[in-house]
Amino acid sequence: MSGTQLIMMALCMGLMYWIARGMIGGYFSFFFIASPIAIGVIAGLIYGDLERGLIIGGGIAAAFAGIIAPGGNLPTDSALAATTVIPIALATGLTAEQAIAFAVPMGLLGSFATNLRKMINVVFVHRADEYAAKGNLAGIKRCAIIYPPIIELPLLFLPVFLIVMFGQDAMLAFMNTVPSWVMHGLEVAGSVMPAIGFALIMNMIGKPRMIPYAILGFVFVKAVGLNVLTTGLIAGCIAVLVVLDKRTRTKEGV
Amino acid sequence: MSEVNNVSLTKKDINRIIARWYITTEMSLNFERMQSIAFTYSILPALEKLYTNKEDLIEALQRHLELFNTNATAGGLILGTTLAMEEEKAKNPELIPGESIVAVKTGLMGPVAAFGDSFSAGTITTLFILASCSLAQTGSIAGLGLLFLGTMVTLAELIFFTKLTYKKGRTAIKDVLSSKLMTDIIEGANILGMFMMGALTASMVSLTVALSYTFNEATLSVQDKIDGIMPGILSLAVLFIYYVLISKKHVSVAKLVLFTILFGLVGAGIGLL
Repeated sequence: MSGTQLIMMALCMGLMYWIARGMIGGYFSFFFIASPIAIGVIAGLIYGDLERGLIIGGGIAAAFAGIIAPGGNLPTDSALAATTVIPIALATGLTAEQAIAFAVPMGLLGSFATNLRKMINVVFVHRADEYAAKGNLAGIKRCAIIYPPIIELPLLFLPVFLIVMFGQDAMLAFMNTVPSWVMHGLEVAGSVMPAIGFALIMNMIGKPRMIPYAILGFVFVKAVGLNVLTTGLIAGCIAVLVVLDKRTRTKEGV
Repeated sequence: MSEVNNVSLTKKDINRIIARWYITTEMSLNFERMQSIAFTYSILPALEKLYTNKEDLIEALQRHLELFNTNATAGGLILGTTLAMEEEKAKNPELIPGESIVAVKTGLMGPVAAFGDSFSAGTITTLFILASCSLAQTGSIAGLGLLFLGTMVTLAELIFFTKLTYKKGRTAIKDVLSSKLMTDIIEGANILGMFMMGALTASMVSLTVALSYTFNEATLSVQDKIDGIMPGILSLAVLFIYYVLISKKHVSVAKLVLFTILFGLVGAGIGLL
């Protein structure tokens, strides 16, 4: 990539990251715009290869899936990983696996930006207090939707913009010097990482007595060879049956 | 002296408040009072209409700027309850002290966050995200469509919860969270979720051992031996190692990710993986 295409890419990726992690558009941006899939689509369109954008974006999204942000704490940032790695991966011809390998360490850097932003925004709480004491509604509105995005623009937009603008050559140079075992090691980490998200969700939703369901699900796909959708259908039926059975038993007082 | 105001919120007001909350929840997120500015901003149209007296309005603004943090979409339960209470207070200022509204909000934000983070964000959205990933990984744009659908499902949840609790008033939320039907639905969703976590581990997590040894001039791969015990047993083991580390040792996710990267690098470096 070079010239206007590169500038366009860097601008769009920077803006997407700003919208995604500035949470401009609230939960819509959190789930949709921040998703590596949506970022992959935009990057793919700009680069002129929508399909590869989707494949790489889908791979990165999968590696980070399930890592949600309880209490607003983002442990690792898939949007930073996607906005910086996907354009470079498209331009330098990385495979989806290699892209995931770079995305994994990149994601860890993102939590700094989101924590910094939450510190900066403290200023606006105190400002909102002052406006509230005067009954100044327009002031509170500015604290809610105008000031935070503006002050976060350099913090969120610039790093991504610069990495995309100047990261390509560095990435190519890096690819040529880094030993193959390092790349392989990062690929292994990327293919193991989804398990962190799954374990996190299991810990939230499942009491230990529910662990057999997880093992059943695993066996249905791995050993029986069913696909995930079919397994989901079976799981849905089992869930309905178990709950209905429990309801009738409590009704009968058994 | 507080003024009595018998005005009621219209459907349009409620929709406007829901839209404001959905779009701005985390924009002003901060360490000191989390979502408080967003919450206050969202219900401004209601406060403005209910409290025509400036002193009452200022008091209302100040009580909502107290610390507030919950799951945004399940937070509709609190949004609706708050609106119902503010409306009641405007009609009957002596009956409902401002502190009771704050108490209800802060009392509910924890349970609602736990419910929302595990049910809406954890299970429902994750299932949509994963399904969209598998479509996107085949290069299909339908993945993006499915993701959009998932986003709309959480929006529908917010709308539903807000309207339900607003209509039923402040008793509704306790009924919702503790009703038999709701606990059964959550139980069912949790069974489905647990099942899917196992299924998805099988399809998306992979860990193979690269070691092989030569015995009587035949090369035997360690991975084949492991698969002989049970196919993919290593990925299942990884899942449960993470599960135990998270649930028993409370290891943070950032540490787990770092640990995973190191594990991959060391494993690949010594030729084990």
